Amino acid sequence: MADRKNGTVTVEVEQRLEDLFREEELAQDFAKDSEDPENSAPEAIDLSSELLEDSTALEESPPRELEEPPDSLERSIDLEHSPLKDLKTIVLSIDWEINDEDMTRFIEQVETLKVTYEYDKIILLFLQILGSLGKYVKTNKGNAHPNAIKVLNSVYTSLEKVILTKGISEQEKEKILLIEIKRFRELKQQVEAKGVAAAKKKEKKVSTYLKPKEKEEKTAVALQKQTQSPDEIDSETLKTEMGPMPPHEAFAYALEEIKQVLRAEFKALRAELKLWRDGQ
Amino acid sequence: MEYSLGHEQLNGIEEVLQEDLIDLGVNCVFLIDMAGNVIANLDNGKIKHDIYSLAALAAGNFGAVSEMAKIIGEDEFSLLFHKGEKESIHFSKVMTEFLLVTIFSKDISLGFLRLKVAEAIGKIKNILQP
Amino acid sequence: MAFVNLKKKEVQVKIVYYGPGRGGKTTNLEYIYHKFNERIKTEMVTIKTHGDRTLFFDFLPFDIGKIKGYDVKIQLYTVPGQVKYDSTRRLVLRGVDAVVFVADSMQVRREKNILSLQNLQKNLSTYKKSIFKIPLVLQYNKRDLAEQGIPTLSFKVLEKDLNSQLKVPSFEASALVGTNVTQTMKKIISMTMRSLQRELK
Repeated sequence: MADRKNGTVTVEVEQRLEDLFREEELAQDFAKDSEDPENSAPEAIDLSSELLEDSTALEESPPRELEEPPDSLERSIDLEHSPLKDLKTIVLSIDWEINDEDMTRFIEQVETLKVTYEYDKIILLFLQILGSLGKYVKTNKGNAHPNAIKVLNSVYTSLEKVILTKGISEQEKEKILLIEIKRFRELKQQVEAKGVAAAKKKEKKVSTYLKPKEKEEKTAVALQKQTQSPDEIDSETLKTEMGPMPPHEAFAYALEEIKQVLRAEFKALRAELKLWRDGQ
Repeated sequence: MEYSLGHEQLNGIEEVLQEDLIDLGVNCVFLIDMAGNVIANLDNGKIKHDIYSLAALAAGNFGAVSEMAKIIGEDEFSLLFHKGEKESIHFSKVMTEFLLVTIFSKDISLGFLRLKVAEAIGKIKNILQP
Repeated sequence: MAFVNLKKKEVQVKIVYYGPGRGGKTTNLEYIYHKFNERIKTEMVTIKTHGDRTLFFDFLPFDIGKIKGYDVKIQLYTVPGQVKYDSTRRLVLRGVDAVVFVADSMQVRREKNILSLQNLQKNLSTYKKSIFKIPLVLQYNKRDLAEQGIPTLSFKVLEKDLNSQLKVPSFEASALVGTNVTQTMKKIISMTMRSLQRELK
């Protein structure tokens, strides 16, 4: 039986090899171009074309175009001697590896810089966004939205531009800040959507191979929450206070808190700008 | 080293690769053994690479780098990653016999990808050694 | 052992061309590639030095279609033959299913042939494989040199040096011209598939 089976396979193989590698019929043709495989570029993430959902804050301000400021402004402040030096190092490190230690250092460095720049509202807002993102990524790690790190890098880069560009006007700074706020808002929406989708998916999931992610779900909430001080948002507090709220609802709650903080800050900022202009 | 994988295990592995990596935005991911055989491979449907050649090269590359690590007194390197202009490639060992290779564009940060890869590997280990 | 994917019903077979440096291993693959790539739709991967010597490996994968319901994928590899690349050879041998030993018929290479075969035995044993059990074919390459007046080893001498204990199929060949290159390959594939019977049930 085994011999017969052996024989059958061998016969089939030998016949196949004969068909494929018959030498006498083939024309000699050594030079053959191989086809170029089609390469489609990876999808770019579109950050600029969406209309803002909540444009109340911006509608009240004087109309301005959301565009990148001209590159003609040269950076003449050395990063090496700037307060941003340590934060930059950490941001570069996070690009390569995300771990608790680096995220903690990131958050701590942001707090330190908040003290350094406590009198600069615009920079403070940048730092608040960074702090919020840092806590979100630290808490969620692999479950964070993939765009979170992208937005973090973008906000940092803009912050660096704002701080290191000598002679940059308040208007320019605000322009840059608004772009980043828009990105941050879009991320918030994406996070919300992800949270809802994940909750729905979990209900439907019937796979028997994956261990339950209950622990991760409970810690999924991570964005900043308003406490006593409007500026202080603590994800730890959020977790304990959220209690039994399902993750996506907790997310929505946290996001609403952030919105309120940003609105308040913006209002104050506009008021100050108005005063400044009136004084000119 | 002999091993065999059943249908359900392969399905489970593909599910992990799809959910944790392809859905994240990774262009292509494949699980191979150290001889260069392809065990599972998935892509985002947009970019098609020659997986079999990549697998042979990946196994050879990883093997060569592992030997280099031993020569310099390291058990292994914790990161094997090649950065390209448009696409980059990341390698990660799965137990002793397998390699997870991920090809991704610059839309995904390496740090974040490494987190997701570590997660995926944890799940794959559970499937391979229940 | 060959990799069998029960889900995809696919078998991947790794065949390594082994032998002393400059013996004709890469030339074997190049001949097969240039001759048949229209039919087998394949691309050859080579990693070599500036001097055209194999540095890491050459790789030629192709499908031979369905056998007993399984898609059979053949993967031909060569190794670098130079003595200094021993660890690379060992790497490439990992997971090997069958070997073609390409010996150099030039008289001056007699000792190198024997040393290379012994090296193959040693490297196979690191993966607990025996040279006496693995599907193996010997190819005595560069037979065409005799016509050019270059001293070559006779078939009898080569058989005595390399095949007296192994007693495996052997072919006189000329990889440059193509003589018996295809036959060598067909033989080793056939032998390998026979030894994989149990996997294909």
